[in-house]
Amino acid sequence: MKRSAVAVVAGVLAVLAAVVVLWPRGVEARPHLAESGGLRFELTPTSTRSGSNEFDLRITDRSGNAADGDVTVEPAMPQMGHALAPITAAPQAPGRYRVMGVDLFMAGQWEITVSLRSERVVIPLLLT
Amino acid sequence: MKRRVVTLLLVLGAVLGIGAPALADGAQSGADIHVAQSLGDRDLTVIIRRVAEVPGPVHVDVVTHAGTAPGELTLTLRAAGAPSSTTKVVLGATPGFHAGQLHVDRPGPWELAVDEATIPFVVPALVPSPWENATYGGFIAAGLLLLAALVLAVFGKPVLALVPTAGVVAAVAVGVTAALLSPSIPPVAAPGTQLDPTFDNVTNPYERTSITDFSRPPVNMVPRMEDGDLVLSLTDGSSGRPVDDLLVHDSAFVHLVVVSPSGHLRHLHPVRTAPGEYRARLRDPERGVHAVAAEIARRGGGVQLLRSGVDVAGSAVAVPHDGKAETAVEIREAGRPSTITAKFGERDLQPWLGMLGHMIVVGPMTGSAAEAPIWAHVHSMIPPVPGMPDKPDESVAAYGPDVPFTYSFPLPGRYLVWIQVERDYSVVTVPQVVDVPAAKGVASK
Repeated sequence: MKRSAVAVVAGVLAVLAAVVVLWPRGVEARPHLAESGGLRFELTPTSTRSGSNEFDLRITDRSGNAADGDVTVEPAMPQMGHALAPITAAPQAPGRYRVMGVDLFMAGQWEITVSLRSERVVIPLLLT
Repeated sequence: MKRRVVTLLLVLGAVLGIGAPALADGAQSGADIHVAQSLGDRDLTVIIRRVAEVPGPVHVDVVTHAGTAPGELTLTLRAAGAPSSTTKVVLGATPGFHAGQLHVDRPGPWELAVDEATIPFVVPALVPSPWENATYGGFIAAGLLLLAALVLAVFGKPVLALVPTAGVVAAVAVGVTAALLSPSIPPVAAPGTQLDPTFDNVTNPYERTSITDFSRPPVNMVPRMEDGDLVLSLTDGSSGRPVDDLLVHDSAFVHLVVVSPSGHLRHLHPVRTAPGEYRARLRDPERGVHAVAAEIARRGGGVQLLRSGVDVAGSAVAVPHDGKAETAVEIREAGRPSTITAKFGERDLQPWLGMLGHMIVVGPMTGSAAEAPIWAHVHSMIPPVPGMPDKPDESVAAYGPDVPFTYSFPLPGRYLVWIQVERDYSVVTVPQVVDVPAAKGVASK
């Protein structure tokens, strides 16, 4: 009885360890930071997989005040030599924008250029 | 005795269950090779289908386009210069696919001759990788050792049975480790795309080399006219020797764009007629200096653009393009992405050179096209289908109708733009003129 209990516990531990080690991990969707001369850009994609995507943008000046103006997003895939049409971001709140319907159709390294007036940053984005 | 037999049967079942190959990688060996060929007066696409078994058949499809003259082509397969099989393909009057079948007897570098054009390609060998061998070997050894342990235990030698039992643990560890680590093992340099293919390295592709940088020197291109053919001589920029290692990229060895003095564009795919020599027919040429630009990729990586000009003795009459499409154009200042969308009305476009559409950009125009500082080739891509490594071929006429392009014109000025798509096995070329304004006080990059 005692032996079988030990075997069961050992089996459960082994399965748990295997699940922890073998669990498929993607790249986590975390905010990407970039700074230009006067502004701070923070881009958070909803997904890190190829396909249709959306971005959350937070733009502030150096002292943390929300920036305003027309924000344009230009996705490109340098490896394939391919650029997508620029997308205008929809303002949500002061300093907050949402970019919808970004069709990043291929897995790989993308470059997202975000511009507000003359300030421009390039944010690399790796999709799996 | 009965209990022993039952135990034996149970364990045998377990051994066979483990021993079954369950961890095979679904490895794709090779894919179809699509090569566009401007062979004489014909525009063909030659598709060499994936070779499933060696020795075995090679299926070749010759795709004809609108205006291709009917006739007969001779296909010959050669290995190391020696012809091995030959067949004839009769081209019909209607554009479409014309199949031929040839035969390969060994893996390695082969050459397909289509009349005078030659297409080098690699027939890959189906070689199990070392980690596959370790995985299968580990599990098979575990099974055999388990059997040995069982026999010893059943026949009253439990202490001796411990030895093969330890072996089972070790063998399973080897198999599991190899299976788990195999996805993260870097791929070896591929013969044909990175290394020069030989019969040795194709049959033994897992031998590692000490080379880390596979790139090769730039290429010099010298164009000349010969009996109505534009002949390109490609030589290595460092050694002066003929360049005979071009890769098929975007479905051709050379993407040759020729612009006549009046602005007529040809997008040709010269055939290889000798090492470092490629030729394409210029039909009904115009008189004057033509701008010539060739896109090539050498073995080892990287695409190069080679530009030049050639003087053509032709007629004084310019041939206009007859392609028509409505275009929606949003031009921004120089350095910012502009979009041009061609609307072709119906959803019946075919992939041409693996793409939905091509846009050639030449400018800013101050004199002739040969002197224009910017020369670009923009693609409109067919969205990839997950799990389908082979691209759709020209028989799929289900794309469009809108063909979008995004390009950042680097300099302000007037550009000549041509948009090319395929419909009904015919390439449609739509010319367009674009005026790009100068950047107004915006940081350029």
